[in-house]
Amino acid sequence: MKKRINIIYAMVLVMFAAVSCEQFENVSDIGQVESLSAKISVTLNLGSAPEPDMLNVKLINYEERYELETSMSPDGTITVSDVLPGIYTITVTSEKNSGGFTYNYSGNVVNEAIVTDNKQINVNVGASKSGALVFKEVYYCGSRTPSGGSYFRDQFYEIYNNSEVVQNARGLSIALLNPMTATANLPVWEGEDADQYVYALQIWQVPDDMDYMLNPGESIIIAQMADDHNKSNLNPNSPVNLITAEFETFVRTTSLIQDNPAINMTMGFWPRPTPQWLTTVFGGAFVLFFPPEPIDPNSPTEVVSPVGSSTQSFRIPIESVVDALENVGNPNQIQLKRMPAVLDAGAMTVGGTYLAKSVARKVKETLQDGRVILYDTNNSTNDFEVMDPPVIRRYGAKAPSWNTWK
Amino acid sequence: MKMRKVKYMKGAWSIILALLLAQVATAQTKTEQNSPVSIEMLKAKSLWFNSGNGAGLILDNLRSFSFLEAGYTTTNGDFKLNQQGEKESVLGIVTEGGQKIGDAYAWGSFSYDNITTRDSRFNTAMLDPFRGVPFYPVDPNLSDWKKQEYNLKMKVASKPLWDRYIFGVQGVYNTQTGAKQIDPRSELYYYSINVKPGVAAFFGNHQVGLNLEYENMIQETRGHTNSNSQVNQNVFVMKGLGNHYTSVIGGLQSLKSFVYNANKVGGEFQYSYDLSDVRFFLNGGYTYRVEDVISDVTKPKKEGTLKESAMYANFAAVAQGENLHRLDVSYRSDRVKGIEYVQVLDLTYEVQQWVDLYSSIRSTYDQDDIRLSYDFYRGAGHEYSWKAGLFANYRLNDDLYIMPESQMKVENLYFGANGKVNLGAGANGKFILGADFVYKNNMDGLYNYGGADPASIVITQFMTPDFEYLKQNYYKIGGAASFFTTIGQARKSGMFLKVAADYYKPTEGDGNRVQATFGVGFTF
Repeated sequence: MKKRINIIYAMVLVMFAAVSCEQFENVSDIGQVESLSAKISVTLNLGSAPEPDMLNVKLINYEERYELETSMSPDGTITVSDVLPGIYTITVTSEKNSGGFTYNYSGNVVNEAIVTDNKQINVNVGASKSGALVFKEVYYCGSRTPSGGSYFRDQFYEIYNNSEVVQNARGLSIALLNPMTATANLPVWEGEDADQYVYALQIWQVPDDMDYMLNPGESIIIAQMADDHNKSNLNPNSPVNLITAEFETFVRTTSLIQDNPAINMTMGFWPRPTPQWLTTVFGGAFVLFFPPEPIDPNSPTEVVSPVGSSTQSFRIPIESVVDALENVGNPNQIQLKRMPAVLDAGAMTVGGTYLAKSVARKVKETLQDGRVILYDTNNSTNDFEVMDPPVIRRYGAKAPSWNTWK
Repeated sequence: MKMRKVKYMKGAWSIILALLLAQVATAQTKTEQNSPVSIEMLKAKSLWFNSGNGAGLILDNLRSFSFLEAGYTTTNGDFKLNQQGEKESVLGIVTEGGQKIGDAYAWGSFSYDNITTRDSRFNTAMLDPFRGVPFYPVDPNLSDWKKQEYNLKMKVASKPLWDRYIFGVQGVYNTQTGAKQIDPRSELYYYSINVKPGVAAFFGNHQVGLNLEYENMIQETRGHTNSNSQVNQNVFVMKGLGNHYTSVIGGLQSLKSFVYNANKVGGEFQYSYDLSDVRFFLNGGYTYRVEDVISDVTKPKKEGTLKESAMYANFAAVAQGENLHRLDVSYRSDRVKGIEYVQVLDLTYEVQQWVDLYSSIRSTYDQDDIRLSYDFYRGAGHEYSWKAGLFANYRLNDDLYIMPESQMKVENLYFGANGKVNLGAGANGKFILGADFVYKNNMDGLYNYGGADPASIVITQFMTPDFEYLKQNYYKIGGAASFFTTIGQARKSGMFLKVAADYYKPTEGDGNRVQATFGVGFTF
């Protein structure tokens, strides 16, 4: 009897140990968090640009909302201390005026795990003259109708000539990238040079029928639907009237959609179009680019699909991109970047859907004639801010002279 | 889900049936009539009953007893934590019985509570937000909650074997379900089972005991939903001391549901000594518990882990002569460590899983609790004629979020007095009137938040007001009255009605909270 009871107790003990063992073992040697150091060095690929005087270094842990900022000499290394273990985006930026031009220097390393002490990180830093055509304001999240419904036809994209010289928007294309929304499940693209491209789900193009000149300080508005959205049959609560927009992404008329005064853009690539070009209200990733070759939506080489998916995407060489902006659904998704850091090292969000808010580039300086120069450091987290409400041509931006319906 | 619920219910009703049968058996064999006061007295004389060792039931020399009570408790008032309801009501039933089975003893209880909480805030997905887990989502919307809780307990002690050894086991099985009633909504299921096998031995006036402990707990959220799918709801996922990240419920990137899974092991020793009319009892134990919190069961991401160790010791002395004196001293130390992870998603097409790169203790939660109480019972027989008690309770909570540093410290001293009088009311009736007073004195309190977003409503409307509540001085005045009468021709069963009320009031500022209880019960 006694022996039997002992056996039962022993079995109970073994059962307890087996059930708990793995879970306990997993945490047995986890120690207290300690701050780390990281050694940052840079490799300069400046081409003909002059060497910057100093570089600003920023380490951002988006998940923890933790930032460290310092500066370094272009020919040295710097040790950054007080690094909280985590996943970081490291950006190195600078700016220099030389020979009448403003040069931007930027380099990024994204999703870099700093979980060991004294980790060495090298950042390739490139130089470019400030972008001429930039996204100035993007209103993607839509608005609420008076009855609380969702309204998404008032989306717009404002593109601004941020330079000192006249630009031609002829053939300029805007693309919504794949994946449509921020996700941890990024598509995998085949090919050794896959990282030299971004992949568009949809492309719209400024018609190639004439020149569309933009003077410094002028902007064009690309509207999903260039109508007065305050009309009673649309959304009296909409924050915008887009009847003066230069372009619209017109597909076909419906009971709500009409062909407005705006110039109709050319649908460059969109395998399965719907009556309106609705981009995701959760925040899409957009690029502006000039196609190096005419867009062929049936091209056997340029139309590709990610591994394991039949979704068709059109690949765009990164070198043809003139500006980029990544939007995400909420601040926590900034770490789920799908845009290459060389185009946009950060991301922006209005923080929700149907909020009637936009993201707009911050003003870097206002010239004597009132024209504004906007920030363009290839990091939308730094360059943009949330605007409530969205406004077209804010900061005194002018419509181009060929817009006769403004 | 429905199948599981049916299984719970079958188990619950089986136990109830067993207890009721035990009650009938008790009624048929016992000689002294049980009443609420006599059951209270029985437990006051017991030393092993509240230990972790079921084998000790024999050493308390308990008689058979049983009771059944149904009650309704309502709580109102704004002197409360955010996550408590402005109004709460509990409709409950509890039954408890102890039964001698030859020289062995079995005890069991079952309770069911139907809980309605109105206008609670900053709780999106926790059935019990106060159970000590720092990893959970919150939202600022005022919301009602509906909950149900089933609680089954049992203790069994064998007859003495070889005139020296007693074997026993204790078990607790608890299930809870609940649902949040306003967007963002959650449907939750909780279960825990706790088993404590034990052994006791007696050597003359000395008795020793030892028991082990194992507990398993799971809490599942069956998805977050919004009734209004047009409006996504912002939520904040807490990580401790106000540190949080933001997320959203609704849409393509909706926050995934959390699953909590815990295991606990432990052990406890007991020693008691009988010295003529005085019995001494000493017990102490240690438990170690790990609780993992993951989100998204199909692609698990670790939200955090808790590593808890607890040490406790109690001393009790009961002197039984013409009257009964009972002294209790207890100490408990809880040390909880909050572990967080740095993870990356392995994007390999066929794999796509979260991989740990780094893990560390990011927060610690320490609690020390010392309690001293003394109770005097006038009369030491089957019932007391009156009783009076005093207690003092010191509690220190010292919590730290290590990087970036945040700290919360609350040091409180509670002391109070209580009394009850047992008055005759006719040949078969009794009135039991009671009153108690508690005063909470805050000795120290600080909350420094050093995280990323001090302007967040999580800090300004949740953490800071709750901290202010925790460090407030208050007093509680309580009163209770019950009437007991025998029923049936044999007068071996009894029935009682009771009302009780507690009034909480801070010493500074407005606000109060009132709790009232109405109950009806039977003893057998």
